[in-house]
Amino acid sequence: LKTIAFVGNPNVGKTALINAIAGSDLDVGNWPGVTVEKKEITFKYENEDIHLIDLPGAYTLYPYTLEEKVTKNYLIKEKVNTIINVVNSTNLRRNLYLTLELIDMQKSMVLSLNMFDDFSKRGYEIDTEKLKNLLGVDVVPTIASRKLGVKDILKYAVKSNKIPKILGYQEHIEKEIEFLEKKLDIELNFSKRFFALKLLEEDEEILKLANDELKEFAKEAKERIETHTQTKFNTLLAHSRYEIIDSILKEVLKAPLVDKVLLTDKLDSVILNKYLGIPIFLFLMYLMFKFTFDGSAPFITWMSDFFGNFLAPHLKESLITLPNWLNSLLIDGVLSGVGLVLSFLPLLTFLYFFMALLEESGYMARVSFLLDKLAQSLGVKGNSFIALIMGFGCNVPAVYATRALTSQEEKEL
Amino acid sequence: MKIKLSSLKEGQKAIIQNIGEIGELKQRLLEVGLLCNEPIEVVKIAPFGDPILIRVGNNSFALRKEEADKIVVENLSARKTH
Repeated sequence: LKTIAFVGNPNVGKTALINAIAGSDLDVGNWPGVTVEKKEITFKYENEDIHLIDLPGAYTLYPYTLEEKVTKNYLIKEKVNTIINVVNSTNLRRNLYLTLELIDMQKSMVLSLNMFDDFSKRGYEIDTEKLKNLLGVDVVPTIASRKLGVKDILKYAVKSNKIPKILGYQEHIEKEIEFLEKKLDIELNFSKRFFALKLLEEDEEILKLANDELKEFAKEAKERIETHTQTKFNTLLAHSRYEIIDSILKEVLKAPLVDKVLLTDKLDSVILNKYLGIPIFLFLMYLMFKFTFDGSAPFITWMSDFFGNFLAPHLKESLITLPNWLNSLLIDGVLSGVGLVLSFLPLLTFLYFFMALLEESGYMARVSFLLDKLAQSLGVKGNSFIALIMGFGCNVPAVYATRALTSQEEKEL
Repeated sequence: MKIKLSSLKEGQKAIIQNIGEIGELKQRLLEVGLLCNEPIEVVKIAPFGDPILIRVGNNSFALRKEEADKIVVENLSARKTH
């Protein structure tokens, strides 16, 4: 069995890519103990058992959100044969940060340049051959939504076993990594280099694996770096990574002379306007509820009519032979109960449709920005407002909406 | 001229000089590319003056006022007008 893990930033089309490969046969579940979705599939590919797993979106392996923690811990603890690193081609600078961290793990890897259509549309060009040589892994442009490059990425992930080249960081960091690597004698399913870096970053899970002597060495190493460079280790590492990213991009990326002014920028100046922003938000919310309730009202009436005035009397007649108590249980209990629940279905469908519309259009993210100040006074972040507003309409979608919040405490609040 | 990021106005450009103590968020800012010596631009300030939307390279980030208070920048727009 070969395990292939999909790793990438949030919203880079990772799930779309795995869907394009696996079709609708994905197993969707939850990661144990957390409300983070887990998607996986096992299938046969040219007589080999392949296990694909979609890891939650992460900007880095230095976890800040629950999703990142799940992803990092999976990569550390589980046996992963190959990593498919999915990046958003239109935002390489930020996406490659995670790529560099993955490279440090020294596992067989394939890079998927996703959203390649947007990338070309904006007038960018990239030398994939050169990028392939610099990183030492296969690079495949993909467009998940149109299933382009999907077969290639799977083929490369299964067949080739290319371990990425190490891209050296700042000299003091490299010196201490080497020092710690020599002190290490633990059986790992990833590189000693990654272990050493995580020791310096003081990652909880890694510290659990280290003995006291090793922790002491790491502490000394970190102090040496910080006194030599007069910079905090984490700052130095981030700077060093961005230096590498910028030097790579300088070689492979050709940006258009002028980045087109996007329509979204113009829209933003209206919906985020100092005076208009909040009225527009209230108006949109009003419209959403108006359409949800008005639009679903006829369906709800129809649904309850169907159950109450059509199905119930008919069934009652046909079940007349049954004893009275059973008849009553079926008609007044089961049927009207199910009917009541189902009559909410149109309402939920409408609400979900509008929610999805607002979310996909990116308006929700802007609402968080607009209302953050108000939300702060309630002790939550701006994005909680959506869940709160949903709560006025119905509790079920509100509970669903809390899934999008970042911290566990916030969700419970 | 060194000032707090939070005192920049919409449309002004600056260079980050120093990021103060803002807890866990500092690490996150480093990782998304908000580093010292990086040029930034204030794109938008939300109603009530908080949060602040800034652009670094091609990326935009929203910062709360309390966080922006702890980031020291060199104001480039002010220098031009002098």
